[in-house]
Amino acid sequence: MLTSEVMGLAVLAVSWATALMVMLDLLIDFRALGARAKALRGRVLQATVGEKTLGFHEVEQRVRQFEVPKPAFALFDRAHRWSLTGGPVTAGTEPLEVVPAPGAEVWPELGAQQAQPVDPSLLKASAGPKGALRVVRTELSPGTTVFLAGTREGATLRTELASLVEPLSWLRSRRTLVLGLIALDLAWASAGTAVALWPPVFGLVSKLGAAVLLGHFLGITPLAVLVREKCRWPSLAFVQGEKPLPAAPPQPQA
Amino acid sequence: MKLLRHASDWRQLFVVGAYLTMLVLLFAVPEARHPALLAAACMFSFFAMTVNHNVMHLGLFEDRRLNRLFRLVLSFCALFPVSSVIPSHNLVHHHFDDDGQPDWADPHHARFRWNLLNLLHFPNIVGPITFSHINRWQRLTGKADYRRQATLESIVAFGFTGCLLAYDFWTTLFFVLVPQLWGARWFLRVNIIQHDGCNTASEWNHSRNFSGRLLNWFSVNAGYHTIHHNRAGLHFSQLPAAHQKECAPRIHPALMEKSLLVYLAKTYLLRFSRPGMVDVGEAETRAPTVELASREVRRDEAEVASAGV
Repeated sequence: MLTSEVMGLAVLAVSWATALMVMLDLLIDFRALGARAKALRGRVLQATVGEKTLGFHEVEQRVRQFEVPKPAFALFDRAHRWSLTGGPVTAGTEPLEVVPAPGAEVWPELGAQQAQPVDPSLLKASAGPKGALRVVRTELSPGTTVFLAGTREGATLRTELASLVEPLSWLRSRRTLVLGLIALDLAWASAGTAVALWPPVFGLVSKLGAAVLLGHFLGITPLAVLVREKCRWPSLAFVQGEKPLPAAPPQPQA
Repeated sequence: MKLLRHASDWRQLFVVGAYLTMLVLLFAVPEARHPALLAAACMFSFFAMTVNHNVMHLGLFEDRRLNRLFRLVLSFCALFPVSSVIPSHNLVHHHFDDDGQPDWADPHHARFRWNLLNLLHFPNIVGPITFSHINRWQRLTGKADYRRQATLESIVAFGFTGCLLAYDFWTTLFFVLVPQLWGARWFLRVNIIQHDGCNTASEWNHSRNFSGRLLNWFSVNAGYHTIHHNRAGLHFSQLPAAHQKECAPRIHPALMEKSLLVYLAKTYLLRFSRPGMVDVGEAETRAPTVELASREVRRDEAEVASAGV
């Protein structure tokens, strides 16, 4: 027969297996972020783009209109693409020529991407069942401040990354986020376990502990997925969301 | 007037009935709490989800109200509003992407080097991803009728389970919640089991199939997955014959397994790493082509069909 003690231990084991798997999965991101930070450390310089656009990043989105809860454009990411074409920059007072390294990456700034308005000319097309397509384009245009990482060869910078966000700070903030969630995961599971095993086991306090563990089992994984998505490289970050429809133009007076 | 659409649908009712009977026994009869009965309840919870999968494509009853009522029962069976299978499975998974974005339950969401962890952790990743997309879909496009049904299902699933927890917390936790969550989580795991290592761009080699008779009897032919993806409107009883006729000549041998248990053992227990990719798609180039509507057309058909379920 399955006693409460046997079942309690089995459920506790499942709770801890979940907590540990969540931690291990987050550690994959933690290690990737750390490796990227290590590769970039001491190699990032701040520069101003010269007279030629240095590169671009694009997110292709489908735009559809919905009425719920109020009329809005809903944006669905379809593809991310970028290109670093290269050109002159000024780092401090020093002129440099940016040359793209193979596989060079462009990191846009998410807030600026999300702030880009939907072209009102898409109003009609986006109302159809298939919606319309648009591109959220970010250019590393003349005068823009960029963070570049690459290898110096005299006055040339063979660039692996051109970013509109300071990459080391971004990587540090994401590592902190991951570590924070790992700490929360383990603390939540430990607290639940301690309370669940509070004597008398299976008493009222113990019941509260089991509820805490059940909450952990169901609640920690959405948080972990949220953090995973926050840790996507800025070049692949989800931009999608919703935007209110533009106000209708004023009707001409009769 | 007929109660069920197909005579063989009694099997689907039996599976769900057997599962609920086991839950009642485990909950109400302390002497019945044997490991074998709990294991059987967990297995039948999964089989009830394969029934759920079928009835989301083709309603079980002639009467639409009975179909809606049956969904409330199924929602309690696995502790989630089962109508959410319509957007996540019928409208997205069947076509392997959502307009450029990967399938919400794409096997590649799991990324451990130790393959057993991929199987175990998979529901922890795709569950939240799927539900966040479902919530967005429901908020934006879900019709009032769908939202009402999904809300009712949530009330029944969580409300009834909550009442049971309030009445007898530990018994419900151990002998009701465990089977409920087991079924729901293995229902998600089917995605990695049946699609990992497959070529989702191919029309006939996007899925792994299991032909064992016992498994297919209880899981109402869930093993015949390729033909189900391509001809989603077929009744479960028609799948084996259609599989033999259309899929068998075009499927790579690596995607045709006899036993689910043997496959699980050799893929997740007896090896450490994830199996490498095989060019499974080349298998279908050897057989003559079969008329098959494009995925876009099939998706549109699924959208129309889902309104009538």
